[in-house]
Amino acid sequence: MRGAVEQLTLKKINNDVLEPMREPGALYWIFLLVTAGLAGWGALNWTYQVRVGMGVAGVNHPVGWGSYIANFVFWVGIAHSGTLISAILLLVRARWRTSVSRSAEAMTIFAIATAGMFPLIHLGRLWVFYYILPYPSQRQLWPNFQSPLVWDVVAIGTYFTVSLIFFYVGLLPDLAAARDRFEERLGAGNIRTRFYKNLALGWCGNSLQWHHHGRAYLYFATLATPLVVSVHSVVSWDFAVSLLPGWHVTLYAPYFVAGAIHSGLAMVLVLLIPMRKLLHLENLIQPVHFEALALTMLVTTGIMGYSYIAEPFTDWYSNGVFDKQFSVWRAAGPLAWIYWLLIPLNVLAPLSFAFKKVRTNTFWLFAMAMMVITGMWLERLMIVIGATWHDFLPHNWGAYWPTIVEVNIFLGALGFFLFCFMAFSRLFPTIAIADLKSETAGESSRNIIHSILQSPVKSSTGVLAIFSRPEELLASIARLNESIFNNFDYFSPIRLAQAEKLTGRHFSPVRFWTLAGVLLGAASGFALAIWSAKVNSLIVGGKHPVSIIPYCIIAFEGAVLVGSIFNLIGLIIHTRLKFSEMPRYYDGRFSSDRFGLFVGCTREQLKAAEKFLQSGNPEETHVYRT
Amino acid sequence: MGVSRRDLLKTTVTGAALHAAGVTQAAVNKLIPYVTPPEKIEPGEWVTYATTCRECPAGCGMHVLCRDGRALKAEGNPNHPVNMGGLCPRGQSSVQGLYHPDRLKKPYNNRSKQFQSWDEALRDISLLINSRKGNIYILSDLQTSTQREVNKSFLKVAGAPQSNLLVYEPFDYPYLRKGYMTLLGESIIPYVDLSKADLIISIYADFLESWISNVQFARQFMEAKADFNRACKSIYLGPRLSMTAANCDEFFTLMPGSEIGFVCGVTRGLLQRNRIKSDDHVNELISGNWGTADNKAVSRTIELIMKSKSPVFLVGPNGAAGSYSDNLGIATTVMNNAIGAMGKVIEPTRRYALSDVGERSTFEEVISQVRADDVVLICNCNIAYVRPVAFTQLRKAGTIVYAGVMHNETSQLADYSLPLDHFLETWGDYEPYNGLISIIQPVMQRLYDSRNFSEILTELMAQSSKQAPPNDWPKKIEKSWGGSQEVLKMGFVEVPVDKGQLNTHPKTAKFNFAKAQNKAGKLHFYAYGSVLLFDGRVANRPWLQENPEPLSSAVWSSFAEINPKTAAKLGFDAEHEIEITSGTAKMRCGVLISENVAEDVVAVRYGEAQGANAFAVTENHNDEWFFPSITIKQTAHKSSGVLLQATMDQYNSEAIRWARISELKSGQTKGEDVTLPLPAGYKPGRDLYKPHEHRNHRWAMVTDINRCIGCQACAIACYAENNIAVMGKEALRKGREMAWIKVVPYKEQGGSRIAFLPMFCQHCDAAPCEPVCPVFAAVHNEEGLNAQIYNRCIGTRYCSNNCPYKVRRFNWFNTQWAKPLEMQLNPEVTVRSRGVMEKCTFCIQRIRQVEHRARRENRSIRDGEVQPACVQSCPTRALIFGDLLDANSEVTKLTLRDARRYHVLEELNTKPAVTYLKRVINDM
Repeated sequence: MRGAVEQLTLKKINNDVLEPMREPGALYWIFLLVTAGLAGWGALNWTYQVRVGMGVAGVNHPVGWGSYIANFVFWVGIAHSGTLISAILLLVRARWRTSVSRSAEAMTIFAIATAGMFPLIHLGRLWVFYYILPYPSQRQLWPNFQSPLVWDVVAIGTYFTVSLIFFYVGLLPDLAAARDRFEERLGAGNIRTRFYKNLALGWCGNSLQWHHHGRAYLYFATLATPLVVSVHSVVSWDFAVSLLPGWHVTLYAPYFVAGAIHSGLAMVLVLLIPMRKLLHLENLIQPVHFEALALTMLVTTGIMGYSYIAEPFTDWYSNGVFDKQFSVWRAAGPLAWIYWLLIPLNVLAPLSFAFKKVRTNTFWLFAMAMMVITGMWLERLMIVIGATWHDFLPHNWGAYWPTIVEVNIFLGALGFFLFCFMAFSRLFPTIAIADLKSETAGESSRNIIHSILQSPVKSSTGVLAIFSRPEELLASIARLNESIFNNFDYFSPIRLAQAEKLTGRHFSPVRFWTLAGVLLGAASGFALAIWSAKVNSLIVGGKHPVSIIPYCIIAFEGAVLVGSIFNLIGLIIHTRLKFSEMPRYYDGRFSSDRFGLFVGCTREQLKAAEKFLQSGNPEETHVYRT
Repeated sequence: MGVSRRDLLKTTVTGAALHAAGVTQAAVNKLIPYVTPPEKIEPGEWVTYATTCRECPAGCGMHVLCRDGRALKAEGNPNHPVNMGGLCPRGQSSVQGLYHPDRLKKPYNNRSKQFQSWDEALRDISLLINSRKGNIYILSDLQTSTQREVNKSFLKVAGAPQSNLLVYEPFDYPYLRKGYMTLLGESIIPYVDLSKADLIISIYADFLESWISNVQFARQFMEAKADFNRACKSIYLGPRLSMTAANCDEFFTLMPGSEIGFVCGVTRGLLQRNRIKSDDHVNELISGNWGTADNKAVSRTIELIMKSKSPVFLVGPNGAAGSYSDNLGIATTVMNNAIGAMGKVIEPTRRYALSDVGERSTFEEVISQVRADDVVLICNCNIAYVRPVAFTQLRKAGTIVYAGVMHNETSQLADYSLPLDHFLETWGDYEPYNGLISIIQPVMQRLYDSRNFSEILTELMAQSSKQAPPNDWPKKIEKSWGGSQEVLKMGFVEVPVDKGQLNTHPKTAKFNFAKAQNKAGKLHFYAYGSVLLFDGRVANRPWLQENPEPLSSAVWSSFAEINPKTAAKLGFDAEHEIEITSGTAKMRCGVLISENVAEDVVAVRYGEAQGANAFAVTENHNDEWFFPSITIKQTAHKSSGVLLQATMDQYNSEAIRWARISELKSGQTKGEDVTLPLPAGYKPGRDLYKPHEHRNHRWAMVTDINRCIGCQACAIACYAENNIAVMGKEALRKGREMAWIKVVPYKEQGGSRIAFLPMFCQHCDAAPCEPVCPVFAAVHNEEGLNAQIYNRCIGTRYCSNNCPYKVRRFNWFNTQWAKPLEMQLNPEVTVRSRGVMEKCTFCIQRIRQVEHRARRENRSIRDGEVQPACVQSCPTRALIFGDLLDANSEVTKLTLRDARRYHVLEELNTKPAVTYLKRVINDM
């Protein structure tokens, strides 16, 4: 896989990825307008529903949850692939992820924003939605932390925040690249330059930033990994903690998570296959990446298949009257068409990825991924409406059919999602440039040299050398050990672990920030839930007002949320990121394809320093005097 | 306002001053009727008035709860001899009749198409009466006592014969009167005391729904049935499994045309076994060739009568007329006499007011004489609806004056329509049967410019004649019950009646129809009076339409029920409407293919709207059977009917369970292990959490399924008490009914028995709805109630999803109450806005009232003192409410000890506070 990528140069990567950020064409605007129009149309329908009442949707008695909740579960599922690819695959060092991770992360954020709207759309009284938030109200009434819906709020909120931070932290070096490119082309005063300059927080790719950034990113991944698994588990508990046959299923957490990743990966394929063509990213996103996605989907396909068998099996094995009845009804009742369609759509279609011919053919990949997405949406719908449609007492059996308002809102949400994704594809680098460059550049030197050098520089008097290859930079840094210069800093468009070792950086205090955040978050989660339960002192469901078991979820989400926020704070503090404040010897090319080594020295040493650096075969050297 | 508040106070509270005739009154239609309230009426305090229900001829005693001068809730008068506290759904809905938007509000001249003042209208009418060349008639619904006297004196003053007073009731049971005429020489409908029977044989008589006096019968039936030592048996024979049939122990289908044959067969069998003695009547009966009946039904009936000490035959159906039903009436009366029911279960010395309804033949004869120069005054009788053909004859009269409460078919076709007082707005008296004078008193000020019919007649008399009697109808009313405050509070007075001589055998029964016809293979039209719609006079009440018909579960729509075999034979489907034709009369309705109807029978509910009006078909009698023969065809029109319940099959849910009397008596049936909604219900190992205590009370309910007859009174009472929104047909089709109580019919698993499951919030101790609510809108209160905090609810609907009983209701829209129906809203209950969940609260407002009262009086609450609306309304006392923390309360005793106890869906460990008692199979 790496072979193909390695033919690229850093410059080419930089240009290829940043090229689509130019002024888009008419077709793009039309698409953007159409998707924005769809989103607006959905919003109008939502307004209508809020004014008239939930009755304009198809939900009824007994089917209290309809397509809105199905959409919610579906979109949360879609949101799973991004963080999975970025976090889990980072931890397991699946290197192919680099080409698709950025888009997947962006997709995650938009999908979760879309998903997050649906519970609101679904609310009978949208105007008091904030009752569900834990805020100190005049009435001293707090939300019920035993309710799965509050878990949802907390989980979705955490997931959105963490995904956003994760996305942003990963984006920092690429924002700097965009900033420098726009500065070069449009000048420093241009609004787009300023936009990226502000967003990049003064990222200059120096040793300190790369060092802490690498650490922080890893901790993020560590926090995000259980979060990915937890989010859809929590969503599944919306159903599993109920007592309805068809919902009350212990299998639901893994089943939902697998399904989420299943649909999420399919959505990545569906979005990337056309995007690759439209943005001319064929060099960067290659068939091998799709193949890897398809192979990953084979794993989730297996879990889905297993779940489809396990569900009726447990119903039969439980020997419960209602479970068995429900199982039979699901397979033979009015929803049978969905039930049986799920197998070809969600299992057989992706199973074809076992064949190399299928998984290397983008058309088939796209078609199969579309089938999976459709299948997963239908599955969510069936799960949501099935159990209430046909529960315990026959006189309560009902039916459900979505209304035109629901269809419109569904389309609106789709429009919103696509609008966001299209806007993203032009506004931000769609591929993680720095990561891709790291893979391309590689690191030639494997020698570990313990360093006693100090960086960054304390003075701004010194000499800057610009190298075109990282090996040259590393060699020069290595030689610094034997020189009189021990005050230096380097700039790099990629993270150079070797350089970090040379500069003696092993330890990053960001880890303490993260740990402190995790502990504080968990403790606050428990504290908030327990304390507010004591304030409320209300009995629900025959439980004690303080019920520790459900509060574990709140504590977990708190740990991840506060841990991530602390991680970010630690990163910002330790890398001394500031808005738009750059070292004066920074060169815009450092975010693209050049490496810089700045050696700080006294005025008297300038000549010697210049001489020392020139011996390392740099492209250019610049002397800075204060 | 024309009438001062003080006047209102006098008339309603003291009863000393009655409404003076001709006083104009303004409507009470302000948000708060009083700025300065009159003495004795305290704002926010409930005032209860005793009056008499006039929704049907039964005359149940009623308590009307009023607040701030408005009638809000009708309940049964617990002391009234007819109903003893219960009230049927129609009676419950009377307040909706009072505030119905379709009420006549002003005198209207249909000729000039103008509203008139009363003075103008009465001047016009009296001019017409005085200048008439022809006759004058009064056509009235059943009125007794004072109103009847005033009617008669009006005719006298007008110089018309007394026979011009026509009393018409669509359900008038001519065949019963014929039977007693034959047997006793008197055209009467005698009082039946079912509590004295130990075997009830009902041939087509829906005595729990619409037959004569359904609340009284329901109460007495349950008195006899629920006492396991007496174990009264009941058997129903009819073409349709009605609600009454479902409550009887056994149900047999009789082939149409074999009904008299059945009675004959039973008679023969009993003669053979010497259970009855032969006399002239009996001989006459068995000498006829009545054809044969189902042997199983005959032999089983004989078997039961042989075991029984006081059996009784009841005979229907409602609305039947003609010689075939007359013969059946005679045959059953003869049988009742022979088996000894007369004087025991049947009391011929007490006669229902229905005995005063005119003979149909007289009615036909009189209206056939109506001519263009005649004047007809109609009082409250919607004759154009119940007798459309007869009305065309009546319409030949030059002038028809309709005085009534509602806009209806007759008011539209009359020359004048005059708004009558609703019976809750006026004075009157009614004698449900002789010896019982039941008082009608106004419970609130008139809503509109309406009048009492006596008032109108007196005014007309005064204008037409100098010798008119004084305007003293109120005095007469007062005289009829003695005018005592105590009596007024009671609402009725019982006066001794002349027992008279029970004159049996004046002459031999004569059957004027010798040849029986077996009608196999022909289609038979069968109309039944529903407990909800009765004869259609209440059919425009939203509550009654919204409520499912007890067995078919039809709402807002009319269906013809047809057996699947018949439907297959005719090639009918359930999708399209059918058209039923009888002579020139036509009706259209949807098809309900149901096993509950016998083959070749097309069963239709009375009271549906024009176009689906069963009376149009039944009017056309041909003496072959109870109802005329019909032809039927399916149209291309899609049926728009709505059924709420797809199946009566329980699917092994065991929501309703049965127990046998023999096993109950022998102690073989033990109470099932129920998990109590008390700390005792929490067991370590099964429950994750520790028990919790309740403060002072733990409210709970016991629902005796054996006593529940499925009449839906509780459901309507709940609508009235709790401001439940009426959603309408299309919403119900989408599953958006708001009823807090549903009375659900279910079939015995693997059997054919049907019982009714009143399903409301179970107020579970471990309620599944509560922990899933994110905002604590669904919480457990300290007295064990599962409370719903409306203004906290954000409408996630998770609680409803997670409720295994599905008793929660979501407000899909903001409800609009058609004016002035909003005046009926109970101010103690929140009117819910769109987007919130609502449900049964065990009428928490009533609990709080009693708690406050008890605290004020410094005492503890008495058992049975708290009565939720449903409990109060139940005619058969199937619902018992009380405190589980009170060791001596009835609910505690039943919940802890009754052998029939069980919980619905007990296995879910919700610890419900509603304990059900099994239906009993009478195998004694």
